[in-house]
Amino acid sequence: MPDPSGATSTLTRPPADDKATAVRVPRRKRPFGRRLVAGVSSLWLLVAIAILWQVVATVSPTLYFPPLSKIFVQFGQDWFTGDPSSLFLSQHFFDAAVPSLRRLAQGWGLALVVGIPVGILLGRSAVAAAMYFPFIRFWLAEPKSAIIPVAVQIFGIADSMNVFLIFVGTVGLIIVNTADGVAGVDRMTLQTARSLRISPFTLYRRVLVPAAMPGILTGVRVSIGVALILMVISELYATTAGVGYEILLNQQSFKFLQMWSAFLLIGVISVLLNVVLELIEKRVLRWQRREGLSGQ
Amino acid sequence: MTAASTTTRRTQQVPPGSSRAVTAAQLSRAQRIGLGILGTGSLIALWQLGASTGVIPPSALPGPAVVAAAMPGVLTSGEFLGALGDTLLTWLIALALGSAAGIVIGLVTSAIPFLRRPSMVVVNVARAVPATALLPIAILMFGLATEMKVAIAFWAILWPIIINTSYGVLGTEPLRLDAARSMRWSWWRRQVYVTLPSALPSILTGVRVATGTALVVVIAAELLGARSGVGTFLRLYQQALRPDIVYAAVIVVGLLGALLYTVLVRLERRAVGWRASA
Repeated sequence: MPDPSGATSTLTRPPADDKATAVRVPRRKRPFGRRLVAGVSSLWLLVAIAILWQVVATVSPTLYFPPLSKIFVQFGQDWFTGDPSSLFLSQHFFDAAVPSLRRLAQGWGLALVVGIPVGILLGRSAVAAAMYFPFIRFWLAEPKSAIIPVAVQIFGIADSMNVFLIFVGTVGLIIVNTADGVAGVDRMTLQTARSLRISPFTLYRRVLVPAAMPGILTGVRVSIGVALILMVISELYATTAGVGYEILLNQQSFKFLQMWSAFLLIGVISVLLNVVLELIEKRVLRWQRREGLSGQ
Repeated sequence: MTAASTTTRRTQQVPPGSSRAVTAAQLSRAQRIGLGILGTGSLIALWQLGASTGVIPPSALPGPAVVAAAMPGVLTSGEFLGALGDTLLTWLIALALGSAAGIVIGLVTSAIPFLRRPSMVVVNVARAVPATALLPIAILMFGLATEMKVAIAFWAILWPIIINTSYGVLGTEPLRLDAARSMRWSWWRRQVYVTLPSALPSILTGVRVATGTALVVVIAAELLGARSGVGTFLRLYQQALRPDIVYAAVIVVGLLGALLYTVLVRLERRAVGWRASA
């Protein structure tokens, strides 16, 4: 049974007892206050673990696990001491994190630009798919970390090595998910489009790509995680700047607070990227009716 | 177009969901294998062309003939096979430990309502930092031996398996649970006979994804410090400027990965064959 989307359920639901709230936020499923309580109450385990860490690290200090409070202070000092003009980001942030993010954007962007068209092609032609899927399957099964020595062999220790690694590591995932999405487009939809005699360009723009969008976006979402992992490993292996390099440098010079602060930065970057992608996905797939957890 | 004229004929024989000019169902197994060989062959030919015309410098990527010539040597070298065995053993231990822990934690946290959302918050925070970034700390804690590789791979696969397990548990058909409850089954019995079987497909998907992740992480740990394994082998020969051996080893590892994946998919189909969409 199809689960009506949030907007529909608000329309069909009897009016809430607090009319003012219902009018002000007509799209919300639940009042803000109750959502806030639910949100805060779901944090208790995280808070408990954080307190445990803090207490254990303070009572029996170890070098490797500094107290959480000190890590947060260090995190603020390392990355957010800049001017308001640079969004409060420190010079250190621009020296360490920006090179990493630039490589990520280049490698992953290239993978999207190449992977989506190739995936659409392979999804449309069974012959092309049969020809090149064996290689792509092999490539997906290849542990991407094994490619690092190869990438260093080809490019030396340069930015292009990291970009290449991120590109080859993510392009296969994007191709396969796009091809799956395109091949899975409902046959009736395509026949309807054909009987309306729409041009091939319109077919792609109005029918195929929108219908394949869930698959394409799955590839995008899965590949960003892999891209982040490769960004970090390639910097740990060989580079001269970046967040991964920062971790390695601090570990080797026994600056464990700074090392944890770099971990935290990677975590924040990864959460932010995932949130942005999720928002984009929700916006693009708004027309889709979701059927619970397993329906996706 | 021919596609349009054959539309009505295809309506009867092709399963829904495929709608290409030539559908996958119309290709025989032999045709598919032939096309696969043709496609892969065309890629190798392109590689050879690039190598012989000098577009790809031999120091960066030697031609396919050179790499193929290095293959027998790599496959029979005790050094490589020993490293491969070491990597696979580490991978297996990490996979077994990580799956066991992840499934138990996932089942427990999603069976107890007040732990459900809080534990998901913790899982999402913990997995935000890629496991490989934590390698330096794992090396400090466990040294350069096998324990370090197992620990980091365990950490990497624990979270996705927990997530998949609880997705499976939460996706249990409520009607079945109600039926079990109306037969006065105990809580334990409901968990074992209703929830666990419903969650199994999702759990196995989690384990299958984890196998790939674990292999990536183990090899990364070997590249970045561990004393033994395929990653160490690759690093040594890359530094010794023997790209032919590095490429041959990378291809062997990839083929092995593909083989493991295929075996797991088969096992998964057998285990949850009763589920149509598995």
